[in-house]
Amino acid sequence: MPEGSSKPLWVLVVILLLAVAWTQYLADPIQYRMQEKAKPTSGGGELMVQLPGQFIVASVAGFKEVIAGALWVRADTFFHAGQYEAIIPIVRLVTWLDPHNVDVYSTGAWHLDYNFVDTNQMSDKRYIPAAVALLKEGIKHNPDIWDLYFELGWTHYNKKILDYEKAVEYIEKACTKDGVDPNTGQRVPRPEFVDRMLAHMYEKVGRFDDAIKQWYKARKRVEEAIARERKKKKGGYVDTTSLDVCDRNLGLLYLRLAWRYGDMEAYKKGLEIYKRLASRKDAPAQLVEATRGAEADYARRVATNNPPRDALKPLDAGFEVTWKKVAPKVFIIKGKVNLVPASEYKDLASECFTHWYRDNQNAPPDQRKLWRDGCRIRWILRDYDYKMPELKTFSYKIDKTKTIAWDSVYVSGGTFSDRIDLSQDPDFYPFKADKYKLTIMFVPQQAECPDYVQDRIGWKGEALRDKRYLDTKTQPGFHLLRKEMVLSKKDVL
Amino acid sequence: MIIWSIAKTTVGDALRKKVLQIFLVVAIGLIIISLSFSQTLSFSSRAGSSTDIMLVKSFGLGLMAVAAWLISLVMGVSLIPQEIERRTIYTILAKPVKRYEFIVGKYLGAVLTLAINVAIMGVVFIAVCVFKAMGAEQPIAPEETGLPIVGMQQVGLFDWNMVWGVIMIFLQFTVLTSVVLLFSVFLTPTVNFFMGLGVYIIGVMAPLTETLSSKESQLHPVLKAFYRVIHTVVPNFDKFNVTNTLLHPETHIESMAKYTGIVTLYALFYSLLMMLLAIIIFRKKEV
Repeated sequence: MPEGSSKPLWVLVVILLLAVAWTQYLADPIQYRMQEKAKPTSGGGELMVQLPGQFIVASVAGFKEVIAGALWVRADTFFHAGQYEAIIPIVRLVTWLDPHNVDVYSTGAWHLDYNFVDTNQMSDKRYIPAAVALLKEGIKHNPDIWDLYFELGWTHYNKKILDYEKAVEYIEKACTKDGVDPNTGQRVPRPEFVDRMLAHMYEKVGRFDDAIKQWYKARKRVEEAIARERKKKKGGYVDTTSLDVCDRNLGLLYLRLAWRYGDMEAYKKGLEIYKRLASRKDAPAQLVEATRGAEADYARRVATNNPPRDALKPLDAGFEVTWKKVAPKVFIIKGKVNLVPASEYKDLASECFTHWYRDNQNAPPDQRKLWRDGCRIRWILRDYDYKMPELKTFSYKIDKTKTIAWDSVYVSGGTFSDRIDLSQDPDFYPFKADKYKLTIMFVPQQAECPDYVQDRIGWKGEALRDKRYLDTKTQPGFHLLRKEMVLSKKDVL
Repeated sequence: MIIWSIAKTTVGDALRKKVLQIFLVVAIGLIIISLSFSQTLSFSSRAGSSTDIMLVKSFGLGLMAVAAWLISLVMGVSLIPQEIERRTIYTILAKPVKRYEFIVGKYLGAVLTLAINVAIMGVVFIAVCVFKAMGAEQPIAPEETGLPIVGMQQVGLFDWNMVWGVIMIFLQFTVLTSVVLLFSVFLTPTVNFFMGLGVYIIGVMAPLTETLSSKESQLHPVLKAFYRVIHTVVPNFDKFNVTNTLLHPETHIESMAKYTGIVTLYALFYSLLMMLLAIIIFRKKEV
């Protein structure tokens, strides 16, 4: 290179500048995909603007995950000190620093759901939208693994918000994803219970055909997993419990379809599964006896052309609720509901399998039960116009002027009673509105309605009748018991 | 041949520097020590949990980056001034050595030194990761769902992503070395150190300058243009910062090889650009 001439060098400088710009242009989209699967709507830059100085230094120094870990430990300290308010901003920071730490999203959402409790240990429901938004943000950052879809579907929509259709939607999504080895990133199959949970959820929303198909799918996955395990262990012990779980659940679904709605084809299929389970050497005696009972019942019904339709036989719920204010913001809810007298089990088809009524009758008189308890009645007290907000982005700032509370009451001997004291926590229950809505209801779908109660009233509560409070409109196809009252401020305060 | 001779001499000089040896030894020591304290930060009661391993990786990659950063800065600032100070440059340039050969040789030597240091730290780091992963298991049912843990699964031992991580650190600091080399042609070592530090910090904060210069930014157009220039001219060190993606393989690092290829080209072009500017300035410099 001639030492005297600079022109060619400047040309080279321009060419290299263009090359630098070109490679940046090529790298950008891949970098965005890697970081957030798409160009971030609230990019790293914006996050950095919002972060306090020391965290900018941390992220610049390349210790983001270590700082995130240290902050997470700090959150634990706050948790044990009962400083729950301080934890959520930490969750925010940790997820900013390390948006792929799935545990922080699920633990953060759990914390929002459960840990802000009033004097009576009732959680502040106003945080639920924030928990859902946090999980949705987690899904946005981690869309290719099953974990957070499952968390959102099962824990939130199913157990907390009681939106079963939405729960199904998210668990269906979880069932299309796998997991990964946390160290190497290798794909690992999702746990089998995710698929089983989807089958249960289909059952809950009354999609029985989908539930049956899903049980077969789940069973097939379990079979494949067992085959893989056998190959790996070369003849060593392999746990096949999951296979039994699938068989028993599928068998029971078939049997219940028969007992509750009279589907004899399903009865036959359910029996075939149970006969197979009962024929094994290690089958428990109870299972063998139950299967024999069902076999005899099936034969008798086929011979007499008498399919069982237990859930279609009307049952008068006799739902009664009274509400009384005993002090400002303190109420007593009392009531009766006909769920379920022991006598109702006498001729139920499921009796051939469970023998509950027979065993109860054989018990000493002082131990004999007159009712089969286990249901719960749900109450919801809220501002008249309260609607649970759907947050587009996660924010832990809640509207502290709103009042919303709910819980459930155990039904024992056909009666229920609960004292609701909302007077001690004005921050939780500000009662700023002029009108309130108090809803007291029984939903056959909810987890608080056991299988043996559903054996009498059906999955959808088809057997339920009530002169005053039967609600067939809120959830088409379902029979709910529902009493709604509008309360004035004077009624409450 | 001349370039190679200069490069070899530069490597020899650099490796003899006590301060660089100390950076290396301390970094290696801390990477090994991270084995014991990672569990304290992992929020997990089980030794060898996946979070625990992730922290070892995060800490190790962070330490390597800091060590490589110090090495490239401390080594780079004295590349040319040292030769001038010792007056050895007169002897070198009196020989039939062209000025561009001197600059290229110096840069190659610095990059080789960096490569040796990063490779040593990388080997120790990956060995530590494998050691940490031995016998580590993770539960396959999250406790928050209320479901029982249905079992434990052994995590894999060797994580190839960490190799990408080490490569990215090396590439990142070859660029910083080239910037510092350019500055060392006309700045004193102390000023150069702080200039290099400033450039590095601005480069790492590239997402910030990008956001501030974007269409959506609320800033005045002149300020936006200023940040656009900064974003384009200052090396984008954020391009090399893929630690979070590497630590969370569930994000499915698509096209990692392709991305590394592009980023390598970026590092190469940027370093060439800096060298070229250094050559242009050095040719005019009275030495």
